[in-house]
Amino acid sequence: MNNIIDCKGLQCPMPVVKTKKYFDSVESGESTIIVDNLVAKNNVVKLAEGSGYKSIVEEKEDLYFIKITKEKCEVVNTEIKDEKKFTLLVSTDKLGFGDDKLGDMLMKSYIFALSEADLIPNDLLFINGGVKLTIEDSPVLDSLKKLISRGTNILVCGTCLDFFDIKDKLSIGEITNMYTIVELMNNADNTIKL
Amino acid sequence: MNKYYVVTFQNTHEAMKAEREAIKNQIKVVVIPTPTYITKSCGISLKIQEENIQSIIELIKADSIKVKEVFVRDGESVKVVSV
Repeated sequence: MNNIIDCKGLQCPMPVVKTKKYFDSVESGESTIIVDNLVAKNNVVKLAEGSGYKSIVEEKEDLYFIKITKEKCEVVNTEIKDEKKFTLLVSTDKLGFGDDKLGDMLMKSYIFALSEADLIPNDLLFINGGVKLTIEDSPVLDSLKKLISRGTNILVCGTCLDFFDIKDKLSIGEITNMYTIVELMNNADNTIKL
Repeated sequence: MNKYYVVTFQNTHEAMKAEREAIKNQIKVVVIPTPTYITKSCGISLKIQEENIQSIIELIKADSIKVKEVFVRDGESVKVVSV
C-alpha cells in the first residue's frame, strides 16, 4: 500500500530525517514524499539513491512528489573493495595557524597538490570558512573541478553558505546538511580534517 | 601535452608578493607547491599558462616581482627559460 509522508513547509534536514525514519522501519515498502523546495527534493532523492531505493519525481503546482520504493530483496554486495574510502573535511579557507596570508597561500598550494595526488578523497566536505573556497572567484576552482572529474564528491554546508550570505555564489559541488556530513564521516575508513 | 611555465622564488614572501602583483594586473596564476623535479627552492611556486607568461616576464623586467628561475614544462621535459 502506498502511503504519504507530507513534508510541506518543512526545511532541510527534516524531510530527509522523516524519509529515512520510515524506510529504516520497514523491510520493504513504498511511499510518496511531498516537499515544497528544491533542496529538500534533491536531498531526499540523494538519500534514496544512496540507499539503493528506486525514486521517481513528479512536479505539480510548486510541489515535488517523490515516490520511493524499497525492494524486499536487496542485492547483497559481495564485491570486496580494496580501496579505502577517505573523507576530507575542510573547515577553513586557510591552511594552518600562524599567519592568515600564508594560510591562504598554503591552502591554494594544498588543494592543487591534492588534485594531482594518486589517492584522492571520495568525499570532500566544506564547512564554516571552508565554504568560501567553493564560490565564484575562488582561487582553487580549477583544482576542485579536476577533483570532480576524477570522481570526488564535493559537498558544501548549506547552513554555512547561508551564514556568510554567499549561497547564490556557490560555483562547485552540492549543498548538503549536517546529517549527510555525519553519515559520510562515520562511514569513511578515514577522515582528515583541515 | 599541455605546456606551461613554473616560476620559482627566493623565499615565500617573494612568492606571495608575486601572486598579489599578478592578481593586481589581472594575470591568471596558480599557486602550486614547488614541483619535486625543481630542487633547492622555496616551497611555493606559480604555475602560469603559455598565454600569460609574456605578461609575467614584463612584470619581472619592470622589477615588480623578483623571481628565482622560470621553467618551462612541455610534456616530460623541463627547461630553464632565460628572462
